[in-house]
Formats: sequence, C-alpha cells, structure tokens
Amino acid sequence: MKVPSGWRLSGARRRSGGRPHAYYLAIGFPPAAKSCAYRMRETANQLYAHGWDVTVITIRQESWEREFGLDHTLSQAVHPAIRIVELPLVRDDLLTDIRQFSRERSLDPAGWIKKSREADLAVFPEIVFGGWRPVLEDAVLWLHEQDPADLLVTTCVPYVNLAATLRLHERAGVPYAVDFRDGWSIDVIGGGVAFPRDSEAGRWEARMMRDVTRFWCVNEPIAQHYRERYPERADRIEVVRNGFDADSVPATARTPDPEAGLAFGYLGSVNFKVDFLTTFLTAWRAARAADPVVARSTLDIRGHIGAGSAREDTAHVEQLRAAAKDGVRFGGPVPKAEVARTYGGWDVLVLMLVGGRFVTSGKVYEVLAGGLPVLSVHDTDHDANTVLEGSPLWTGAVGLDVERLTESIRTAARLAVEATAAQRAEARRLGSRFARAAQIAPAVARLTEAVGRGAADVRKTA
Amino acid sequence: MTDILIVAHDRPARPRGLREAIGKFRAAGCRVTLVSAADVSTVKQATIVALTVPRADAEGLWAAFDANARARAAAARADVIVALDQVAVHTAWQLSQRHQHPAVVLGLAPALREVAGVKPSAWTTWSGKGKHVARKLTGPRSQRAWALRIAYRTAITFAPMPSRVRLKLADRVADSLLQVQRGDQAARVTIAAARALPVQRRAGYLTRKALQQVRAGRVPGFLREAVTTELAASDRAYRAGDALEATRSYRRASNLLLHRAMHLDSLTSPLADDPAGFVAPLRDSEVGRALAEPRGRSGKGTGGPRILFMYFWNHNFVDAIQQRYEANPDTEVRTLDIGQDPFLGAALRQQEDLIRDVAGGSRGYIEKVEEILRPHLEWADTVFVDWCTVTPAVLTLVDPASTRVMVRLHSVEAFTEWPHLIDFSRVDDLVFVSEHLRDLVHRTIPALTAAGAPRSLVLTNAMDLRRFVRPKQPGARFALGLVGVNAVAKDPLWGVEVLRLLRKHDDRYRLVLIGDDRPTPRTAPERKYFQRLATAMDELVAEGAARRLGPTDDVPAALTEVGVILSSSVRESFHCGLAEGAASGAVPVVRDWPFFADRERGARTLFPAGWVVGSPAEAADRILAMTADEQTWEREGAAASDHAVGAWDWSVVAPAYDNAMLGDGSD
Repeated sequence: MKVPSGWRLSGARRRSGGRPHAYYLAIGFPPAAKSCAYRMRETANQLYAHGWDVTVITIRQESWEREFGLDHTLSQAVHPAIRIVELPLVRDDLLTDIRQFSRERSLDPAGWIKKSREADLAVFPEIVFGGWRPVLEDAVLWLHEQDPADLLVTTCVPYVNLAATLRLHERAGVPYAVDFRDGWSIDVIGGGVAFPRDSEAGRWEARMMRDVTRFWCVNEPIAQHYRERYPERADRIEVVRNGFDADSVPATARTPDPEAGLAFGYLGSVNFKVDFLTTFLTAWRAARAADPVVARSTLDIRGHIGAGSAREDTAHVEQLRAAAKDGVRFGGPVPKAEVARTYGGWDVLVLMLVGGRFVTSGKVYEVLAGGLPVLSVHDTDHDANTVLEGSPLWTGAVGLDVERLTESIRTAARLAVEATAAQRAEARRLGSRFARAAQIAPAVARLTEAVGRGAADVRKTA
Repeated sequence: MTDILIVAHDRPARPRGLREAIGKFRAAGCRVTLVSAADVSTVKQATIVALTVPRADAEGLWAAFDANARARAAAARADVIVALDQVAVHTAWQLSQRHQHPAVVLGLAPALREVAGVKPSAWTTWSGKGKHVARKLTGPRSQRAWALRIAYRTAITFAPMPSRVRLKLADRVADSLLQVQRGDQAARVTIAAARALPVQRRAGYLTRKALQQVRAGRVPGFLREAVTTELAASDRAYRAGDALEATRSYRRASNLLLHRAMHLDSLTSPLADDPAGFVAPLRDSEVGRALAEPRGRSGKGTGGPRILFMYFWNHNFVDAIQQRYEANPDTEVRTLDIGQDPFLGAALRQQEDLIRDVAGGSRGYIEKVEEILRPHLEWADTVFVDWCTVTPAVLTLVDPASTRVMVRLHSVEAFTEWPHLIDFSRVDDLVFVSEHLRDLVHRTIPALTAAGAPRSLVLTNAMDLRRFVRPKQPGARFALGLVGVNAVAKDPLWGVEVLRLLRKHDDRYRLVLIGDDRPTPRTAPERKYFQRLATAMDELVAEGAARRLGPTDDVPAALTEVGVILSSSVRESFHCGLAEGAASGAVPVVRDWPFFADRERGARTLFPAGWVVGSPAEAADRILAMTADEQTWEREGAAASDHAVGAWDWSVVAPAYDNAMLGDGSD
C-alpha cells in the first residue's frame, strides 16, 4: 500500500487472505512515551494473538517530540506482524519553534491558543484535538478503501477518534469497539457527570454507544456510571483493568540499609497540581525531622513533567529543585526497558495519584506487583485502594493531611526495614493477579467472539 | 563557541530552573547572554543586558530590544535564541525574521535540546581565522571582480560538495551580490544552487529564500522560478492524489506571489504592471484550475426584500447602506459578521482546509460551512457581501440556490489571493467602487469577462458628505490636509515633498495629518516607510510646519482647519478621505495615482479636470495658484464642495443602490 505524502507506514506487509483485518485507532501507540502506550501495545498484540491482522493508526513520531518525547524501547515488544500508519497530525499548541509562529501568534501566544481552541471546539467538542477530525475521518475512509476493515477498535483519548470511528461505521458498516479507559461523560477527578446527554459531547457519546460492539473502561465505578447512563447497552460494557507488564517488575528486591538511609521513589507522569506536591514535600520534611531513618533517606522522582516549552520547566520542577537539600532528586523520565531496574533500586514505592473513587491508575498494579512497601499519597476514597487492599506492605490511604502523611511516611520506612520475605512474597502474589495480558486477553476474546470473526475463522481457513 | 541568547520580559518564574539551564549551557561550552526587562540580578553566570521598557507589552519589549546596541549584537552572534516567557515571544519572532541562522525557541527545555543536538563539523563550523578568511572571500568586495563571480557560480553549479555547504556558499555569495546591487546575478546563483538539489528539496529552498527577500522589501529576481517550482511540486502531489500536500504547496506559492510586503506595503507592485501574466502560474496549476472550475448553482439569483449583509469584522463602509434598508418598510435586513462566528471566525487560518476541500481532497470543511450558512441563505433573498476577501470565499463554497449574491470589491483585495479562491459562478453581481478598479480586476482574473461571469457594477461608496460642509477656521487656506495615512499606499511622504516645495515660496504652508500615522507595522518595508515618515514629521512638527491630529471620530470638525485636501496615494479605488475634504470646501489636489496613471482609467477619469496633478511640482503650482488669495481659494473650495456633494453624496448615490439591490441593476 502506498500511503499519501506526509504519512508513514511501517511494519510487515498485509497478508493476503486468511486473517480478518482490524484497524486499531490508537493515538499514543509506541514509541510515544506516554503511559497509555502500554495498554495500547498489549491490545494490539492481543488482537493479533486472537487472529486479527492489525493495522495501528496513530500520529507521526515527530509529533510526540513536542509532548513527552519517544521511548523506542516500548516498540520492541510490539508484534512484528503489526503495521503502523502514522498520520501527519501535530499539536500546534505545543510548538516551540518560534520560526513557525505567525506574527499574530508571536504577539499574543496565549490568545492565539485560546482562539485555536475555540476553533477546535467548532469542529468537534474537544479542545486541542477537535480540529483533527477532518484528517482522521478522511484517513480511516481512505485506508478502508485501500485495505478494507473487518473491525475498528478505537481507544480514547483523544475523543475526536470517535468522529472517525462513527464515520467509517456509518459510511461502510464497519463494526467498532471502543476502549474508553477513563470514560468521557464522567469527571473522574472531581466525580460526577462531566456533561449532560443533550450537550454536543453528550450527543457524540450517545451516538457512539448506539452501535458499539464492546465498550471497555478501566474500573468498576466508571463502568457503573455508563451502565446507569446507557442501560440499553449495559451488556456490552465491561471493565478491562490496566494491569502491569512483567518486564516492569524487578525480579528481586534490594536489602534496605537503615543505617545508610532508605531510597523512596516515585515513577510516573507528574500530572497532579503543585499544591499536591507541596503537601507531600512538607510531610516529607516533617518526617525527616521526626525520624532519623527518614532523615537519612532520599526521595527520587522520575517521570514526565510538563510538555512543549514547559517540558521539565514547571513550578513542580522548581519545587523539587528547592527540596534538593532534603534529599529530593528529580531524574527525568525512565525508558520502559529501565523501569524494572529503577524500581529495583528503591526500598519504598511512593504512589502519588490524583482523583478519587473513579480513578485507579495504571501505576498501582506495577507498584503492588513490585513486592515493596507502598506509600499511598492520594484520597482516602480512591479506587487504587481496591487493588492494594490486603497487601501486608501497604501503608493504607490517609488522604492529603500533612500530619497523617508524615506518619504514613514513617510507617513506610518501618515497613521497608521490617518486611519479612513472606510479606514480600504475599504482596507479589496479590499483584500477580493483575498481569496486563490477563486483563486484556479475555476482553479481546469476547470482542472477537462478538464480531463473529477472528481466530475461529482463521482456524477454518488454515 | 555556541552563543545562547535568552530574552525575558518578566521576572523569571523559576529562577532555579533558569540558573540550572544556564549552568548546563555553560557546561556544554556555550556563551550565554540574558537580555531582560526585569530584574535578573540573581543570575550570575550570564552576560546581562538590562532593557528599559516604557510599554509593558510584546511590541514595547521588541522596540526596547531593537533600540539597544548590545542586545542587537547578542542577537547577531546567537546560535540559539530563547524566549523565556510569553511576552518575549514576539521579540524572538522578530529576531527570527531578521536572522536566518539561529534556532529560535520558546522555553529552556527546547533550547537545551538544541544545544545537545548541535554537532560541530568541519563543514559547518568555521572558527577563528578560517571563518574570517572565508567571510572575506565571499564578501561583497569579492563580488566586484567578475572572475570571482563566475568562479563562484561555476563552483555552485558544478562542483561536487555536500548540499549544506553548497547552499551556505550560495546564500553567502547571493547576499554579497545583493549588497553590491547585482540582484539579477544573485538570483542566478540561488537558482543554480536550487537546481543542484534533489527535486523534492528545490521548492522548499527557493520559496524560503524568496520569502526572506520579499519580507525584507525586495522583489527577488527568482520569484517566478520559486513560484513555478513550488507549483510544480503542488502539481506532482495533486496528480499523486495527495490533496493535502498539493494544497500546502499551492498556498506557499500564492502567499509568496501575493505577499503583502510586495504589493501592499510597497509604493509599487509587480502585479499592477501585468496583472494577468503575474498571477498566470497560479491559475495554470492543477490546484488553481480546480479552484477556477465553476461549481455552479441549483437556481438563479432572483433577489427580493430580505437582505443579508455579510462581512468579516470590517463594516465601516456598509453601515450607511444597511441603515437605508433597515429604514425601508419594504425590506427586511439581517447582518452576519462571520468574524464573530466560532467556526468561521477562524477562516483566515483555515484557508488550507478551504483550498483542499475545493481541490477535491475532502469535504469536511465545506460541510461545516454549509451547516452554518445554509439557514442564512434560506432566509435571504439577497446577500450583500462587503470586501472581496474571506467572506465571499467561504460563502461561495455553498450553493446559493435562488439567493442573489452581490460582492463588493474595494481595492486592496485585488492584490491578495482571495479573489482567486472565490467561485464567481455563484456570484450574481460584482460591485466595484470605481471603473479603474474594475478594469484592474478584470485584467487579473480573465474569468470575470468570460461567458457566465457575474455582472460587474460600478457603484460609488455610500458617503454622507453633507455633514462635512462647514465654515473654515481662520488660516485654513495654508493648511494641506491628508485624511487616513495608515497604509504605505497612501504615501504621505509625497505630501511632505509637496509641502517642502511650497514652503520655499511661503512658510505659512503647513501639513495636517488626520488619522494614525504611526500604525503597527506588519512587514519590514512597512516599518521602514513609517520610520521615514516619523522622522520627516518630527522635523516638520518641531519647526511648526505640521500637525498630527491623530485618529478622531469627528473628521468634519478636523477638516475645518484644512484648506487644501491632498490625495497622495499610489493607488486608490475612490479615496473617500479626498471626497470628504472636497465636500468640506478644501481645494482638492490629487496625485495621478501611479498604479493607474498609464491606464485608460484612473484618477484623471474619476475626478474633474484640473484636480489631478502628475508630480509634487505640479501639485505645488496648483496649490500656489488656488490659494493665491482668499477669494480664489474660497471660490475654488466652494466649487469643489458643490461637485463632491452633487456627485457623490449618499442622497445622490443611493438611488443607484436601490436600483442594484432592489431592481435589476440596469441603467
């Protein structure tokens, strides 16, 4: 297949005959250095494993350079038979090359972005990405014309993917499944409904739900919201948890040395507010003042902070720099291939999470499976609790009160020093229930069955 | 040594981050200069240039930067220019227009990546004496020797060398040739370098080089080569089915060919000399042909009592017409300012979507426009669109069915790409405000005189001139007035020259500028022109020979102190300011607008014989004669006022509008 100029096609050639063909619209697919890339990679691999020939549709690698960058180690575990089509879409709001600015934009960068976002909303009710709608719609129609689809699996965000998905379905009758992950009409951070059914976004979501073959989300509270909002589609809604990747978990834990001090570590995108970090750092300082072991300990923060011109140049980073004298270090992102080794160098895993009962996060599975003490820094009513419940090495969630967090940090230090081999093994055992493949494979099997194609047909034609 | 220039307006929000980044730059062997309008005394590891900024905004910072010699020197040697905050972005952008070499970025993180990515090599890093010698060997002086000129061009054309080196050498030699006024030879060098490149890189290189010259106020000798190369790339993409890339190339070509610096911010325009030939490459391209293809309509425009006035923000010239039909009990009026529509308001930035859809690559944009405009078209019997720019381009994406479409073109539009994006098969009447503009547009777009073209009407602007008839102030006889001077095309410096000639005879003559004579410049030529004007005016004001009245809502009052009204423009469609001045009783003196002076129609056919002059000297002679004594001046002024009000007042012109809007428009 010869793709239009500006697109990029990589991976194996399409096989003729045999496997049915699934397009997977997954913006953020590896090598994008984004947390959603793990789930996308596993979904694509599972689709292939269940008999589909898979073509992933994402955006140009160069576009991610403007956001969190690229991690090519993520691509290593993508099945080699999977093709990837990259579309020439970029986030204009993250442009840092001023030569490409118009004069108007240079005079008022913030105003320009505001206008651009208003224009996005006129095309599709989603800021930043709404303007991508025409290109995405044209792309899926063109691809289907060149190499017809038997299934389209779409994952959001961005939600504008829905426009292309519905366009293909309504134009060519291609069945579709949507991996909605955190949902749309639910405000997972604040709780409650994000927009009413009769809003523009509400109408898009309802239109999507009308013919969706399978609908996935990451936890039970989100699934419950959707079952209540769309009772007629309740039987198609299922929870597909995130899980952890086996290669992200350290094989062995290091032995803590309380005399030298412990190594606390957080790995993940810093997507919480500055106040949140301030609270934790205040507690960290208080714990160091009160506890000699913590006073000798260090806190490593690893992951992405800020995008575009603000990459690693935000108020968070400034706070972390200021906390250097308190043993706090910011070391930037970790390539996927280095995750296990990074965890292996720590004694306590810090789990800082936004949101509440509608958020589970992807990190919690990895952190639990690591078999190390887990220090929870999040709301008391948080869905991560449902995953961590029962672990002997968990501090419990105490909320964001400085005094209680201070005690929690000391508890984590104590757990690290006193943990027995049996406790570590039990924590690992609890975590092992959430291997990523074990979460996604059954869902893909059910989807394949629902579409009525896939592995069974392949076996027939083999 | 890599030079980093950081520009800041605000006090650094993250001083630790700034210090850490500067430390990293220095560790990488860079020299860092921080030019700041705020206190950055906590930063120790950089050379600090402090700016005093009288106006705390983006343009104020740039003005202060540009006025500071140390800041300019830092910019001239910079390899990476960093805007540290939002206000500083404009200064960095201005520097990016002035200096082609450095990377210009927003934020420290991209700057650190730039530095990390810099890989010095023997070809790109000349240092110390080597660099000095190389500069001398290719400098302006070297280009005075014909043998060296030929040697360089031969080397650039034939010698084997990496593309980067060839382009760098060609750029340097071409710059030197331009400095010694050998533009044609500079163009040949640039073309030779482009032709040595792989075909897919040629268009990008030529367009970039041409834009640099155009923005600096030159018409590059290789303009046509650049445009046709870019259009050839567009054609290739179009034929390969890549409408997006074809559109982008077409837009780059049209933006270059019709760049405002060349046509609007200059006293001449290559388009005026040969309108049809100048834009022919656009018209002959694949995308151009697709754009020119009539899309047709499902009905014939019939008109009727429901009138929709459409425009994009600017409704200055349409208000009087609109008010007339609002007051008419037989008509119903609505307005649609598409600039205020959340989607169409972005139409200027979505030109690419428009072209791509029309050229057949997609339907998404047209469908959205249809969704917005259809209800308006279903309501309206007649749509009157003011300004022949984005509004009719968007409107004619949609089939108007039986709604009559009238589009009015003033003047400036003829020098832009917009008329080329309009489907005139969906326009019933194209309204011009003067015959010479109609002639120019007809020459530029031959389709407008072909079968099936819209009818061309000439209707004078709607002006309430009676309110300008007022007694003059004492001493007005010696005051030359210019109304509206915020565009280069108004050429107020011509008026300054007339004044200087007059003052040799009588130092009672003075100049009065009504309107903003210090507009925010959009291009380098515009900036240079208004700098010259400011210098001249400052001198005249200082000696009491000129007054700046600035922008005013009460022009009739301002004109009471004006005894002679000038039209100094290089081009006008009608020049309302002159008509207003004439109506006020000032003696009119009209330059024979150079854009049209050699044509069949122009200022000489628009105004009474005697008003129009060919040169500043002729203007001075006419003024001396007309203002020789109070009686002559009053008599001539009264005659001019009678003519202006009798010929162009709205009460006189309106019936022609009624005939056009409500009747069939025929005489």
